[in-house]
Amino acid sequence: MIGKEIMNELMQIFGKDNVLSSKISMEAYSYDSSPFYGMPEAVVIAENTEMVSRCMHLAQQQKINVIARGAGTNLSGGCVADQGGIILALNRLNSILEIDEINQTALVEPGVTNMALQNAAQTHGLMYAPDPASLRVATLGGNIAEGAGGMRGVKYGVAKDHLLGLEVVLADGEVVELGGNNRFFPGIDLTGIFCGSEGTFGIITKIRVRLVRIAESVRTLMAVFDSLEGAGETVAKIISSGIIPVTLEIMDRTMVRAVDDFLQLGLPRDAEALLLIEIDGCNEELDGQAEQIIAIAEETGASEVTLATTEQQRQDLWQARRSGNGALGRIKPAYMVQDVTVPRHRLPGMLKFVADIASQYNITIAQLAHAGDGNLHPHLLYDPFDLQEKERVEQAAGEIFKAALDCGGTLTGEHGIGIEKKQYLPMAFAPEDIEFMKDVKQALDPALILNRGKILDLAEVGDDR
Amino acid sequence: MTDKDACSDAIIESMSSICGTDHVTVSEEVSDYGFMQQHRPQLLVSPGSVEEIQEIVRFATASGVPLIALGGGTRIAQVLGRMNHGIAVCTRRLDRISEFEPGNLSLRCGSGTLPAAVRELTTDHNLQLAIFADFDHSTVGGQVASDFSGWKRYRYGASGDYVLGLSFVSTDGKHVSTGGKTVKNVSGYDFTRLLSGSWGRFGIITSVTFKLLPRPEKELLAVKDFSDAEEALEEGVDILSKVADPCSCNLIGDRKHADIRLVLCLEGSSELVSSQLNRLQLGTGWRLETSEGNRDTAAEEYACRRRAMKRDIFHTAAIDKRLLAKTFPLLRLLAKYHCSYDFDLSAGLLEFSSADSEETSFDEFKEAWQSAVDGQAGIRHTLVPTARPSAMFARIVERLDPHCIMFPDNLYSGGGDHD
Repeated sequence: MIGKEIMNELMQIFGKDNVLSSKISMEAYSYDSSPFYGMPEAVVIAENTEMVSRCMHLAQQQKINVIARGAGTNLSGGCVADQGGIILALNRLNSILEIDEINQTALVEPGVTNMALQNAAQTHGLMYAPDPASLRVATLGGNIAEGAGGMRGVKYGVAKDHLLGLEVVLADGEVVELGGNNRFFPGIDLTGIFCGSEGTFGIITKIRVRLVRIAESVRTLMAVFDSLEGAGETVAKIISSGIIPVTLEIMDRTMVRAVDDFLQLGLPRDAEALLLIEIDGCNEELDGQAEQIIAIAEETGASEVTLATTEQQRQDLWQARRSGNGALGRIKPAYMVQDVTVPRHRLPGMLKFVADIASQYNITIAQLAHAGDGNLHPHLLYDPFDLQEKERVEQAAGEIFKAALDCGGTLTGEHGIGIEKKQYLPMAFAPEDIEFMKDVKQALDPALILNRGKILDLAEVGDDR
Repeated sequence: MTDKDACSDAIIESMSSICGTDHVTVSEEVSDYGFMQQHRPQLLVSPGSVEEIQEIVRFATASGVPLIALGGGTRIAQVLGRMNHGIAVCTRRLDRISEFEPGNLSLRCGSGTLPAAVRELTTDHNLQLAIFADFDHSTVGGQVASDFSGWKRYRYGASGDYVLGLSFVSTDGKHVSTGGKTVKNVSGYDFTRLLSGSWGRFGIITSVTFKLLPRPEKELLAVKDFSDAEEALEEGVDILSKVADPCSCNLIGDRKHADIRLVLCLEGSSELVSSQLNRLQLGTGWRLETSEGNRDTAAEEYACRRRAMKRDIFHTAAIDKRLLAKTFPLLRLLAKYHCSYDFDLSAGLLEFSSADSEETSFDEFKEAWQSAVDGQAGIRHTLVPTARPSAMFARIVERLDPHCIMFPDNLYSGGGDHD
């Protein structure tokens, strides 16, 4: 419980204007982009590392739960104060401290948005490869803490593949610097364990990432299919052919129609599935690769394959893809978006399984997939006031988790465990694996004050694999 | 007193009962596994299963005997301090490839698997594990434990970048799995990056699931010899300014050869390689080798020189690439002290072997190097390690390895004295 005395101490650390406690402010910070909800006891807004350090020192002394928060775009409840405590807002730590064109690195504060870094890097002919759908507002601190991916993951990897170093405030307020500018310097590097740790190991206050050179040219293709499995087969065959596209995205009929209703782009509304493909590289090599992809898609049953010939066409296709989540609001007021990932060659079967589950549970599921990574985003649509439908959606989600694990996949590819998938962790890991996770957590946060109850519920560490 | 006497009979007996007498090595034969004669553990065991490793670890924990995990032993002398006790646990027998899924671009194998075995399986599917080991007997587990990066590191990164998942025996004898076999995976904490590069400090790696890549259609090696290091460096820097993304660009100086060799590698589709070559307009003195044609002369020569350098104790300096053009004094210094070096200009990494075997000469070199790099922001090196283990590292070790049995003298974790 945060009393008056602690509030006064917080005001001394952050300044009066940077400490919020009114009911309306607490409401504003009580949710993220997931369906979860939890009222914090206070919200503090950090302006420098020292404030964060002093805050953690106080929290450690008083055993107060601290939840770091960026833009709140988390989809698994990772920054919801479901167990009370302080929300530590990091948005104002938003300076890009360095873009080093020669070493191809950037040093940024955690509140910098992904898009701001993309824009800054672009002026140097570089890009930050991870590009989650929320990139316009999502912060890099959140991206690292959640292990964000995005559409370019097929070729360029995810957040952990681009993370070089961090400044982190530990649970007791100690500030540590990890990693550095050069990925190859020998020695034990603890940077990696913070990626995807959902703010449960420490508070990230500076980030050094690797940037990659923007390719000379791109080609964007759209293939139309009469079946989801056909689109999935095409993905598997493209990967097997030795071409690694930048992106390989599947949208099912429900999604295509929702987006087309929303944007009026003239998308093929009768198609069962659309496959969007983008390749990049030097001009000379791309035409050959595009021809090869067209041949593969036609072989696997595409009824139509088109190559975007203008930048506007290309932008329209990506706008369609990026508008998926918003467009679904026209069908049902709420959705639960899943994030299971399966080995690439198991994708066609998994897409079919999800479609069958929708029929079995009499619910609407719109499917999007970062197909090249085997990462599915089935959107399970429901009306929150229809409790029976909501329950069917939850049951269907459980079936999807189980099926993904059964075929060698994982519960979540890029959204995190948070609160949402915590109950499923014992299905995915053996008790020994979870015990090791618990050991590391307790080494770094013995008082359990860093985002308590996310990923692991330490009191209930699983034994029911 | 002999080694055998020094090593308690009880330990030998215990290890023999776990792994079988044939898999326990004592006395000087331990040095055959890559240890220096003067700094080596008392005995070496080669377990043949995860269960045997678990038993060894439990024994070590109960009796307080330190363990040193190793694979091929190609770099163990590099990181072991003055340790003269303990048990080396060699994972070479864990060499089974248990799963190969070309459609998922993944492969799972035991930590003792050799690169050749992986190559044999993946090449037919036009795939590769993009870790380019210097030595054929370097195991994949050892490569991951050391986060090894080969000469193509600029394009392909380090071993840890290819780990999708791994299993290891923790210091309390548990068999733990982390990660999985998908590229995207944030299901629970991912400790693959904790184990990669930790040299066995947090556990003994037993199997690894790797991400595979398609093999490039073409590889072109361009080689030019220089009599002058400054000229070679200038040309290397010029190349990097013209071709933004070569596969690698290395400068190799060898104490046995007078010439300095610049080795440029271009890789990718035929069209990409031709386009990069056109942009470079390489002048006179360059020899070209392609993967389709007159292969292996320059590549093998380069590999030989690199291996020769790495058979000695070698050091590493990470150099900010903005300083590349100004690193000539360092190369001159290395030449003066008869050091061999491989300077990866593309990645900003300079690896160099010690000057020679005479103590005084090495100390002089160390002093000269230190004064050359002193105060230069942008250069980190291992010749005189300065960083001690952080409190955070100590906290993790204290929790995971309270008896401090797992590779306690690992120089890269600040556990010993570098000499």
